[in-house]
Amino acid sequence: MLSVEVSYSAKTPDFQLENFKFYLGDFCFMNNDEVVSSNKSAYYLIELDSAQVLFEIPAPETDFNALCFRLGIDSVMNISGAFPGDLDPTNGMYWTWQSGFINTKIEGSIDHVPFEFHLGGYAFPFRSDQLIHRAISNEQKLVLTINLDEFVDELRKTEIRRIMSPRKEAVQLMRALSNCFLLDEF
Amino acid sequence: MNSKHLIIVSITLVLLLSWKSYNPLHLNYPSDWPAPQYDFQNNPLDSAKIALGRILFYEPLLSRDSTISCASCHLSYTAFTHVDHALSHGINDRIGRRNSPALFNLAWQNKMMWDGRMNHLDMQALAPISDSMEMDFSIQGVVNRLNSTKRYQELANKMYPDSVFTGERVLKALSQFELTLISQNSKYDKVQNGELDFTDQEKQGLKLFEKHCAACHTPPLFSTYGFEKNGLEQDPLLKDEGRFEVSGLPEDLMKFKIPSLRNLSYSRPYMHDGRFNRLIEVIQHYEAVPELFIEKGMTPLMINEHDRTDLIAFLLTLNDRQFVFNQDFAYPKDE
Repeated sequence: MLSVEVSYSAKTPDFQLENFKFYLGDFCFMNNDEVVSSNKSAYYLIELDSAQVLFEIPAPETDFNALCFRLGIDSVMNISGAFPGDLDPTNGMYWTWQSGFINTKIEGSIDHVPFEFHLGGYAFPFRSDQLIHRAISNEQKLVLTINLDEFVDELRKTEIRRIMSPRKEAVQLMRALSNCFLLDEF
Repeated sequence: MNSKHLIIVSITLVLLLSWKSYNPLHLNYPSDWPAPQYDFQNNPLDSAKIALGRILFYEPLLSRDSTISCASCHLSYTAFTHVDHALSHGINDRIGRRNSPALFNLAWQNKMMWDGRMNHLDMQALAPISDSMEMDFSIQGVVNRLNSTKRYQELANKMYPDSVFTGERVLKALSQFELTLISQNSKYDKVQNGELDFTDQEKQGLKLFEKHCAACHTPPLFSTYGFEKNGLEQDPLLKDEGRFEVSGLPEDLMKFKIPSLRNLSYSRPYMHDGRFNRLIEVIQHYEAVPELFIEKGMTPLMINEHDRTDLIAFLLTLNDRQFVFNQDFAYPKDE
């Protein structure tokens, strides 16, 4: 098993985070571009506040030099009904007015203006889950830091402060968020 | 017997015992029906879960003020719809936007509700539970409430290893009961299996039906469960745009899910907003939109009074009295 530690950082001024919840899953280990182990359909609901979150994922016994994982839930899961645990609808991460998981909830204020983004969408053309691919080496712990400064820069370029349904801006913000994931190793 | 033999015998015994206690229930339906859409592997039917689903279906605790259950708008005796109501009323007499659909043969559907907004039967219940006009509650609220109610704690104790309800368990139990609601014993079905014959009038009606209606209301389910425009003018108060509200695609404007035509006598009024009280009004509507048929490459419905009567006579053969009076679907007494 491999320990994963997730936290966020945001040094940008006038930015406050009230709620930050997202799904990570489909962890897949690769060695020289070949998949050596994968844990498809296992999803973890991460709720971040100022502290970090720790969880464990199964890891291969053999060598690996890259990691691939998903931010959000893949589209097949979105049409396959109810699931237990972190995917249970009581977590508030499944829309009730239409089908679909909310991949990420991020709420707070920027430049003293509140924002509320419930980023979902699984069907063309608003599929918003993102695959993230990083080079790593055989270590016992993964440290994922989400540097939100980039996300905030992206946000400052638009006027949108509220997203509650699948749309192209949700896809754009999910993409921006996926670029914020930095991987350190111990 | 040495230890190796003992192991083999033990494993065999365990396998035999688990085979005997594994008794998956299967839905019974006519052999010429298509296969169900529902993925039973994720939610295999069992009698305890069906019974629980039935209890939950009739349970008003699922609404914020404990007054509205699923059965409030989906009554078994009226094909699981809310007869004589164009639009249904929920909590505090609030009125919704759409007519309560009749519920049967749900295993063959994967886009639920008039605009198909829920893409799986398991998730459908989230919509009425959370809608402020219907049950005005939340799945979190439902689960917390069930887990703090004695008779449900006792049920959870019997059914689940960790003795608690979760969102997934509530939703899947409801699905299990709903999946058993199969309507397959109408006169039409009995004619198909040779038990009965159509009258001459019904035969004429069937011919008309096949020519003008069966493209969308395809036997044996009497719907393709797809989405179509049916030429209805948008109600200026309700402003319902149908499937467009879910897909955002302009071609989906005013498209609604094609309802099955089974059990029509038990499920009036008709259409997504219940605007037609009588079948004759529905037929007359379709007579008034020849362009709709032409667009689909079909023959417009231009018929006389005799034809209308014949067509209705055929439609009435789709009523399933056995279904609406089935006590296994009605309110669970003494469960």
